[in-house]
Amino acid sequence: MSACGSTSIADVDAECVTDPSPATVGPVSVTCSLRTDEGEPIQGQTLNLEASMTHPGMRPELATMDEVDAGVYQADIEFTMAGDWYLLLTGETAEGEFIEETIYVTGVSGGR
Amino acid sequence: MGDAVLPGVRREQGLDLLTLPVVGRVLRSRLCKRVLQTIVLAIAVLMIVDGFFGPRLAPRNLATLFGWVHYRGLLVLVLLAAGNFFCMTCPFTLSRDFARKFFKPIRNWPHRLRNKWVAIALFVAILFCYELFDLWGSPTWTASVILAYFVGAVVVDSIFRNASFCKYVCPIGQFNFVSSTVSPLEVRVRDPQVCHSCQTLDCIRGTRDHDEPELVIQRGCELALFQPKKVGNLDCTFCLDCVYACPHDNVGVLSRLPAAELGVDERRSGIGRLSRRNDYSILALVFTFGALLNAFAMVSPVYAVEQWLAGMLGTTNELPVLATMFALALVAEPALLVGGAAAVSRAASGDEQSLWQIIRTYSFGLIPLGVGIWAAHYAFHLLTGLWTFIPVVQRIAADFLGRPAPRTTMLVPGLPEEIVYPIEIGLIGLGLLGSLLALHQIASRERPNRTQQAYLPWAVLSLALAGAAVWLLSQPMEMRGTFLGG
Repeated sequence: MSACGSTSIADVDAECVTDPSPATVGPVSVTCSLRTDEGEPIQGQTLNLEASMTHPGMRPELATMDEVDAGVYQADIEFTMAGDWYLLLTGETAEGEFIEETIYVTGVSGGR
Repeated sequence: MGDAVLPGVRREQGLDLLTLPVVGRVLRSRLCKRVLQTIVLAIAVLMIVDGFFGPRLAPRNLATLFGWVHYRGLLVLVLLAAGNFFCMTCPFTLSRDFARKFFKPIRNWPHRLRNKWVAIALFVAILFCYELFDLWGSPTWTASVILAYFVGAVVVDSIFRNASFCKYVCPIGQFNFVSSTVSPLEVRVRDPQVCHSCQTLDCIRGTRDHDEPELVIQRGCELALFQPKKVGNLDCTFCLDCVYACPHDNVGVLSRLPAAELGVDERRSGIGRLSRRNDYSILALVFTFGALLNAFAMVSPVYAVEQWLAGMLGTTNELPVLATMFALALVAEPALLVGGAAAVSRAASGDEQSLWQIIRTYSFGLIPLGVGIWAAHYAFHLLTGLWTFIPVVQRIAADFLGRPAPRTTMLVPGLPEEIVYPIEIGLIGLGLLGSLLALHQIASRERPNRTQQAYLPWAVLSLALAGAAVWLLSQPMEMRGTFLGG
């Protein structure tokens, strides 16, 4: 497993890894670690995961992430096509703040 | 049996869209055309605004989503099913008409540029930039391209008279002109006898004010297509200015046999004989081979070819690799294949014309196949992503109303690939059939005594290109923003 990069939009840091890594077409396990700016794990969230290609019009993959450790969330999805993908994590904190993180997974290899 | 004729049907002409009860009234109304153009203009403005200021993710941005998925797909399917109605509702010409209220063009388009060379260069440039800058994945670039079209149309047509931008510059226009040769509808004279007695020629000169003859109150064809001498759909924007101008109500939107015009080589108004036009012939070839190239760029094997080219050139810079690939696909490949077919056809049929003249004559027969490949490619994106615009429109509506955007995602974005794939193959098959028929028509016209010998090499070439297209669309898709890395 290896990190595939992160982009923080709000005051949340997300780091995600895929298994297998580098990602290939087929079933992929995505594990994301969510932390505050102070490094505290963000726990007990309901997070939705949308995986979509960077090319518009393609079929997205949707999943709900399970918290498998403190601030660590996991979901199984499928990369249906080779190319560049992004993962969009969305959720809402107990305080009603919206979480939205975008993580790019480029160069997914394999065939259909 | 009575003699009643169904609405919209003229026995000698087939269907005439302008005589249909509702559609006919809408098309005949200048106001309705302006309304349609205004709606398309509003969508284009929304795309530009969203492209510059909306979400950076291409699937969630109206510019990239609608521009590269819905607009292209709808455009080619409407061309295939009806005619050049997208040029009719073009928002760029609406803007240029508005600009002309302030800037009266006084110059004529330069004689040396009265051909398709500038437009061909821009068409290739758009295809090249699409791959180089990954336009499909960049809302900003996509919005910039749309904006450039508006600026181009306004600037060109504010300086030069008539529809210079449409006829000599617009790459989308050329795509539509070439594609519309296979459309089932054509703007055409209803009764040629009426034109013989016409003294005013309003369809080309425009309708003049009775008291002030210099004043044009309804323009005629700005693309120099004189209706009685017009053949087919090439260069026709379906603007219907000729319909509005004709004092005898003698121009209709008539049904016809798709692609039949490609086998005709009579002198066309505003164009001349197709077999004498280098620029139109090259446009037809770039259009056809560009369809293959554009489809090739979205499947996995393209990366192997690029890696190979990068190794050969000793570079990791995408620009020279892509330029080489374009040169191979749009110059070397057509030269080899089309030149080969022409050489064999020439030798087999005893044709004494030059090789280039034979290429120039037969190149138009490949257009239906090109349309089929473009349609298959764009239909794939349109049909598999048909409903993906809904969450984007919801988000824009919410932004407009100042409400939080609904966090919805399309669970069913469009038709499954298993259904779309046979449609793609069917479109290629249809294009192949059209090319085989058009090429046979050309061969029987050119070599009436040795038709089969002249025709067979071209038929083999068409089959090979169609086979290549089927192979391409059967390959694993791969959409990457990075050619050599990642």
